[in-house]
Amino acid sequence: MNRKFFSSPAILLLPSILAIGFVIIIPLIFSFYTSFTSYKLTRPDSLFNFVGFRNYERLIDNAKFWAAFGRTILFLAVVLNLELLFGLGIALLINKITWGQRTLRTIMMFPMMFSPILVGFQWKYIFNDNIGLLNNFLYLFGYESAIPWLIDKYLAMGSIMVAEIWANTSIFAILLLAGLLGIPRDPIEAARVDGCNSWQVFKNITLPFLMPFIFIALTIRSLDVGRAYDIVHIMTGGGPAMRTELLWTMIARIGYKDANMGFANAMSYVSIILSIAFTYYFFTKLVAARRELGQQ
Amino acid sequence: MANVELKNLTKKYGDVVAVQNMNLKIPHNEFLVLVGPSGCGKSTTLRMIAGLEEITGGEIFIGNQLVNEKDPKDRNVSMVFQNYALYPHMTVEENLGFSLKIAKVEKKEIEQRVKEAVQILGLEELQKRKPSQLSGGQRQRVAMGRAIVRRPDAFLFDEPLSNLDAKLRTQMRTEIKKLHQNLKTTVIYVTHDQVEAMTLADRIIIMKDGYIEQIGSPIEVFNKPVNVFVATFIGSPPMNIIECDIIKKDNNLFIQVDKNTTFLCPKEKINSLENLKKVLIGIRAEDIVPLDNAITSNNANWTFEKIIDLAEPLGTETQLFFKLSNKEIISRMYNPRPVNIGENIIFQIAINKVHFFNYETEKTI
Amino acid sequence: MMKHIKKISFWFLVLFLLILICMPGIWIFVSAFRPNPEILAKPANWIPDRWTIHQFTQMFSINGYVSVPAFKYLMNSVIISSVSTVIAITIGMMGGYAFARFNFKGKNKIFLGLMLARAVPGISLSLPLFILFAKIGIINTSFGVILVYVAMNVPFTIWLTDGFFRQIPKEMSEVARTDGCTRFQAFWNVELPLAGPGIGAAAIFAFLLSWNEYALASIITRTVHSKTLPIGMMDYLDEFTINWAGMCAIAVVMIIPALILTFIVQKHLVSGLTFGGVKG
Repeated sequence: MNRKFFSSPAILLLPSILAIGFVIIIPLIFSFYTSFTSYKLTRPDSLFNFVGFRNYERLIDNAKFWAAFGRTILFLAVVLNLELLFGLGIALLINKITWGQRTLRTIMMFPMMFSPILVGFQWKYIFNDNIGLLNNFLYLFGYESAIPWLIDKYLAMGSIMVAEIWANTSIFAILLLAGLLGIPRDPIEAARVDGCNSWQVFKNITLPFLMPFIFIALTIRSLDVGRAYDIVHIMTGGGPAMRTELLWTMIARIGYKDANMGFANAMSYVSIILSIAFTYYFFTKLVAARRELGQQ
Repeated sequence: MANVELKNLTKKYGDVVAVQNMNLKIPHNEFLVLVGPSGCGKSTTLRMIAGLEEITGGEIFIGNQLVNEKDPKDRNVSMVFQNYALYPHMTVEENLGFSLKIAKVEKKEIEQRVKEAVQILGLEELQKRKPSQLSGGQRQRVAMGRAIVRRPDAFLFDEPLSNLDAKLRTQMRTEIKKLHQNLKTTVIYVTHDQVEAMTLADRIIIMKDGYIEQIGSPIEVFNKPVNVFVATFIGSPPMNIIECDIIKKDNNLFIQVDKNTTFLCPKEKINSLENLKKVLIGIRAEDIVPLDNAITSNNANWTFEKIIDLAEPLGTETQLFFKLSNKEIISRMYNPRPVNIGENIIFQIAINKVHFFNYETEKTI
Repeated sequence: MMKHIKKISFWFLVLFLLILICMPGIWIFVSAFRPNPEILAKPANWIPDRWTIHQFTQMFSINGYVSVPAFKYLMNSVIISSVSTVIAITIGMMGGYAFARFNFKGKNKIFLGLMLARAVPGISLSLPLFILFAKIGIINTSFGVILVYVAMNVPFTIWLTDGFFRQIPKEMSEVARTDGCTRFQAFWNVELPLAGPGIGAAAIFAFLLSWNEYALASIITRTVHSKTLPIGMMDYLDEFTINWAGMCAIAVVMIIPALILTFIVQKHLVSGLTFGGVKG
């Protein structure tokens, strides 16, 4: 490799852009096209049956879609907020520990590395009404009637959220802990001397310093929100009676079970825009927060 | 070993000019120091010579060869960085031998040349250590050793001493000077510290805002600064600069410093000052001498009396502060005696030590 | 007294946290080594009466009848994850280096664009990928899956390696270049070894993402020919019954490498995540 090769960012970035172009951009363009057709997997010729905005119109009229959409937003709002909150709590907790901190930090990282499919399976197992660990545990305290965790509509949604939170809180905890460990001591000590109590120190110094880290975590997390599909798919498959149906499971059902690709692709676009909007929002926040701290 | 030449060298970052039309000939074996405040373009110039910065315009010759298009590796120069930039994953030995290894020099030869450098710099005990196990001064030495081993045509130093503490800095300064005398190579040295520049340089270049303000030997730039900037930049404490009115009276020309203080204009300056209304005069602190300590007794010398605002004894001298035309003036009193604040002292200024600058252009008259 | 209560409740909280994090994994581990009926015992039995490796021998019996060809899945997983990781790291590293060391027009926008490409949910992408891959005939091949995983891993690898390269002072490469290196030699001899641990962490992270991926693989892989472990796991899931013990066993096979790798990377991963990504 000569000088020119390694000096040109365009060439350095080319393979990355090609790979992404081929696997992500081209398929997205294709699916954008099919979202304007009545394409069905079972009838290949329907690929050229242009139907204009009909898929999107159907989407707007579809109550089930809106229910799934609303549920997805609710799901993300609850899950992300709780993960952030718990993550912050855990980070503050571990930050106080001096002995065994590193071991604890490593243990904390484990859920992050579980395959979402495994997380789903594992919690399906725990919440199983018949043989589940949780009901088994409650049995010890005399609750003999099995609680239908994954069958009752509210409990099922709650159970999925628990699994999702269990799997993803650690990314917040780990990154916020890294932030806490990096806080310079001087401003905190200065604030103490200036008469701040613990809460005021936290609010005025620790938290602003943590903001970039919070947004890093949120950005990384938002890249992966779609992975919740795996968990839901395993735990309930969108059931019971579509009560835990999120956008992603609905796409899979309509696309593969009903083989209605055009319609599913229209729906995919909504989910893609949702993910991108989340990521974009947190990313810009991250840039702003860093700028504020002067860490450009 | 070679001379270095810059022709119309220019560097722009967008619309911002970092270096403007720089022309310079550096003969073989010269120790050249580029000095100036931060952002004056001195480091950029050095980095362009090294090939680390693209050139916007002009030409660079090393050993009479045009190197504009050459990679840093083909210019046969060595650079010592401010933060040393030692390879943290290599031992001292490996750091020193790295450039030769890359050049595929024979192993024996590498060993030989590393050994030489180690001896020159007194690094014998440290050869197997990693940079993280070295002190600041030792790291500095290794960084220089790395440059020596390569036997470059020119050494480039980019503020190599600014990360060291004051005591070590003085010591390393001497070592660099000695090194240059031993190696007899062209050295281009960038610093913002005028003391370093004065002590090390054969020639000093003072830069500001991308332009060369003055080129000359240390004594030259100290004694004959071409403008106010150079005058105040070189020398410590900085030269006192006072704004004065020029007054004609009874066919004589006077320089009025403030209401109560007026001096007779020196004869040889009359012609050039006659038609001006204002002038800046510059006097170094050591040239404002308390009369008790004055050596010369020339009638033409300026004398005046002032109340002392502050006296700072430093041992060999005491620095006296007073006001002249509402400006704080520093005087150096050698062989000091105790001075009280508020005391009246008569000062004398030798007129041949006074610098005159044009009020508008700030250039020397 | 107050202090004591505070301290005790503090450690109690830590303990509770540990249990919450570890318990599901431990339960799966224990269940993998016991006979199926015991899983159904009430109350839960944490220490099996009888340890057995029956599930594992069944999965990995290469001769005899195999209901779930776990060994083949494992091999597929290993190959697909390793190859895609090596490629993703190589090209991602080049990208990360470009972001860390060069200034170019639209730098932040390109970076953001790459990240947003990564944000596309797997399931949404799987529909068109399925059709396209079927058209060009790489559906149900390891090659197809590898290709997808490379693209999925590149943006994040860029994020991480950008951070690691930026932690290395620029002077490191500059001094190497005045020392006679080409830009590539400077990269290879100086910057790469220094960023080594970080790049290792990025590689392991990419590996785990491929190792654990489900949504896309479940569509692109169809048979034992290319199925990976997460997909193979579904073999234990019938319409009405679940072979819990078998599933636990395959889960253990999946988790153990992931845990070991996590343990290795954890330190560098955090520093890469927090350092990389954004600048003015």
